[in-house]
Amino acid sequence: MADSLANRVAVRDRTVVAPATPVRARRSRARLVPLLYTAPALLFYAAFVIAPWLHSLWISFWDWNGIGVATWAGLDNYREILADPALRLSLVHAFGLILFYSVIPICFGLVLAALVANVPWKGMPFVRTVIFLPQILPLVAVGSVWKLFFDDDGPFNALLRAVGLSDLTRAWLGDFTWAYPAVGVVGTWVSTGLCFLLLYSGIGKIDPALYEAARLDGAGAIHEFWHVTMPGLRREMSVAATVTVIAALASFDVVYVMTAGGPGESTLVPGVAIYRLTFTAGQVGTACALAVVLSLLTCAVMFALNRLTREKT
Amino acid sequence: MKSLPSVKSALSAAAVLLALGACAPGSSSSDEPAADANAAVQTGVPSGPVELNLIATPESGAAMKDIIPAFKAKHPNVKINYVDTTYDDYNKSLNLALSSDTSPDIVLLNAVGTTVKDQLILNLQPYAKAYGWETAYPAGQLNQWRVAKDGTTLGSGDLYAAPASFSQVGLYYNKAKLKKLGIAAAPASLEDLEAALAKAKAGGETPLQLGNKEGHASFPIQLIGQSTDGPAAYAKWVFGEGGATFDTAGNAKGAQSITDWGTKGYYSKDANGIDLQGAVDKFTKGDGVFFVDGSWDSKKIGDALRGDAGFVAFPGPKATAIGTSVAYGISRKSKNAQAAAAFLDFLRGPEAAKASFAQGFLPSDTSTVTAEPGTISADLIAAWNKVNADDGLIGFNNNATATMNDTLVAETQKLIAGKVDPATFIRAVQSDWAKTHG
Amino acid sequence: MIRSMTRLSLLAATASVLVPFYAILAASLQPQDNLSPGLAWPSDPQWHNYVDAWSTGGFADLMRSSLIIALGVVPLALVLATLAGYGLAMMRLAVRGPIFALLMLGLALPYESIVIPLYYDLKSIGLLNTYWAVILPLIGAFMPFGVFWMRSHFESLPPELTEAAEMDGATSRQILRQVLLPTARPALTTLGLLYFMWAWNQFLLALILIQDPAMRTAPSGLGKFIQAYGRNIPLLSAGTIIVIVPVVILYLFFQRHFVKGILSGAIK
Repeated sequence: MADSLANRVAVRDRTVVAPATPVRARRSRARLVPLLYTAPALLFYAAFVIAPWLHSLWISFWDWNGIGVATWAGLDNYREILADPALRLSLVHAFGLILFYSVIPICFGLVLAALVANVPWKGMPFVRTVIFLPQILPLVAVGSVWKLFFDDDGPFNALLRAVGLSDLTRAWLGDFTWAYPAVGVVGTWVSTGLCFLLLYSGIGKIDPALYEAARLDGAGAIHEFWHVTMPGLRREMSVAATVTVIAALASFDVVYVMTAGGPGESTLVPGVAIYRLTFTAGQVGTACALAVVLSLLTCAVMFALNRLTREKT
Repeated sequence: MKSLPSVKSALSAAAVLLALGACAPGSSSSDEPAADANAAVQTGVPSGPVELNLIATPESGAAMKDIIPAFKAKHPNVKINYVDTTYDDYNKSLNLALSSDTSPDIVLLNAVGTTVKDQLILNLQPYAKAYGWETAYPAGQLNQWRVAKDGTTLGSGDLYAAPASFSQVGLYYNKAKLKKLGIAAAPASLEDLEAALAKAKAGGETPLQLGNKEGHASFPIQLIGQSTDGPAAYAKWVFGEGGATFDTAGNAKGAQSITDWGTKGYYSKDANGIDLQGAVDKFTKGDGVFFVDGSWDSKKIGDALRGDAGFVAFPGPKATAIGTSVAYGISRKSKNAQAAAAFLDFLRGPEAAKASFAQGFLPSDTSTVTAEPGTISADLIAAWNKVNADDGLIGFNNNATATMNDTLVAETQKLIAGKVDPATFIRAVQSDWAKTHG
Repeated sequence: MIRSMTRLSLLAATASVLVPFYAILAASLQPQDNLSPGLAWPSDPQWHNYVDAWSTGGFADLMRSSLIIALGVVPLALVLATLAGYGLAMMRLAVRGPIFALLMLGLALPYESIVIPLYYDLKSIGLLNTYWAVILPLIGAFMPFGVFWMRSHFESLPPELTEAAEMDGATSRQILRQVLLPTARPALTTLGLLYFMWAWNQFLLALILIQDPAMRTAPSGLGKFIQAYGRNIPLLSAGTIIVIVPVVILYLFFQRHFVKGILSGAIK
């Protein structure tokens, strides 16, 4: 591909017009030119992401209902997050979702990828198409699908009844024990395809010589998996972890649609809590404080993941 | 280099956005004095074309599609635009809509909330006097919309909304099932009800249809609570009067009953996963002998169960109901308050009453509507008259604070799942209340 | 043995993705008074459920809004990301590091943390309840991914490509337009498709920044539809499928772009 590019460019080269600017002046200006190219994007980003985030930080120091007059609150909103069991719980739930969004999908993906890598199959393109599908769907629709699936009169209970497990049927999303895993399993459903394909493509990039060397040493399949495949996939695993952890911590759509945080607070996540604090409780300051805490935690986790994988490689 | 000016302007736009954060949020909100309760106002519709925007929820606003044309027929110069959004969206956006420059004129109020405190809606006291609303409605029907000077205590003070029609929460029952179980009449006391529930359980029926995904177990708890404590005492808490408490004998009994009924299997163990509409559907399909719900579902239940559908005020020493008016307020930003007030006055007339009753909402004066005997409509009127005679209409506990609905949803779910005991439930509810009114 | 185990596990994974879809498709064709659709295919498929859902849910308006928002985002976002990607690839300044870090931050910030101030800021400049209220923030939020994506594309090209042009004295603009852009078409197509999908699918921003339900994106409209018709499972299923179908069609047509974009985009 690089060849054909080079050819194309070689042809175009001749059409490039040489301007008559002195070389020296161009050099010094050229150093700043890239900044100009970057500026518009940075401005949009600053105006609509960074500035609102700073504004959020600012509001988090106020006691404000979103309409009336605000009074300075200092760190009270942050204290409230620590003191309010429901808000604390929402953060715990967000981290718990990492198990469903990241850990399980990466394990599944790893096993599948390791299996498939050794056995080529012409059904693979179809599998790839289907297994990746959840990644591109609107999460609200995903939530809607699963909400119906777990309804007390829904297909999942029908399935249980069909296989003679009617004793297990229940309103899954209204059950204090099961609502959280039921919401979590949606994350697994969404992330597994991504993790599998990431790891699968990663295995393809591992130097075959490493496997041969292992085989010459008389290593079995399991040994090979632990000592060649796993280390070779460190980068892909860290990527899969980063992407899915962010999705877990920021989850809103799926929970909002499936349970809105209930029953009780058993599926409450920060996204839903922020929404409620803002629009029903009128505690915009507290909502912003929670948003700030959530983004700081997310950044911290990303940083930690980055460090972890960097040190080992 | 040509792109520099546009870069500059974009930079300054970003600077503006950044600077917005540098002042106290919301400090620009209006500091105008509250409208004088004794201000002189004019009644009737002004001449010349007037356009009014009205917003509501689909359920409460259902009658508007008949009321607005009836008003228009009398006042052709007034054009009313009706928009509805779902309940959640509506409550989320109401205050923000009222504070915006494109505020609607007439708004459905599901609760006073912070609309008075934040000076978003008009003091209607002058219009109440001018139109004589205070004598036209029984005092209890207006009290829910009276707000004291502090902006949060309800039940006394100036009037901020005009009731169009009323809902009442009571006890639906399936007549065919009662008959089959050998129960002669609808229960008249809590003991009767408990005996009937036990009998229904023994007879292999679902005694009580209950959907608590949206926290509707709070209905029976409140109904038992208010009929035990007496409506006058109970209303103080709902109105947010200082010193009131949720920790009453009635609420304790209510919470305990719901817990006991669950243990005895009187309602589905899946109640936390069933929403109100789901419960209505199940009840109309014969799943449930009794069902505690509002009159807003009477049409659906009556249509499905026909002659088998019955409704009574919740049994107790006094006939009480949870109910609120479908009430409308006027935005302080409305430029056509006079015309809007004329429309509010029209809402208590006979045309509006008929249109509302057709949707399951009761008029203040039941003599304006009729129902065939033996129908659910006749039951609704009978129960309504009884409740009013006992002065037993009390607003929803859910409206006691802005967060009370969320709290009741979460806490009733914990209660019926056995995660908390009745005492803990009551403490949690009271602690929410105390944050606002304490 | 291993072979069949592999295939079996792959098929199981595939099936687990498809079963919920099958269930909802079957449910969408049940009569509307059917409250407990199991897994059985309806004996008399009610295709008119789709017509009903389409009209009661106002999906014509919603699809149009989603399209307007997506088409508003994609061109501008592509131009900005290309310029910035090129700029970063060329950049030899010390600010490169901080710019990088700042953009990285944007990949981790959840929308929840910016949506409330956005609400008040957009309100104060009068953009709330317009399509811009979603378009502009989305462009901003899409910058980190796009800039990294385009930068890595430009850096993956052999340096000889631009060196020749530089020798000829071409300006950076000429290099970008005449040398680099022609190579960037596949990268831009992928990025454009991803931007389109993400904008089309946007839920939270549309839910909060646009009050008029008809102006929201299709997924936000679906959120409202779920609230309003929660018990009419066949209608709800049909509505869900209506919202899903456009993205699925797009995906099936441009599958390679989507898969490659998300997989390698994540790694870059």
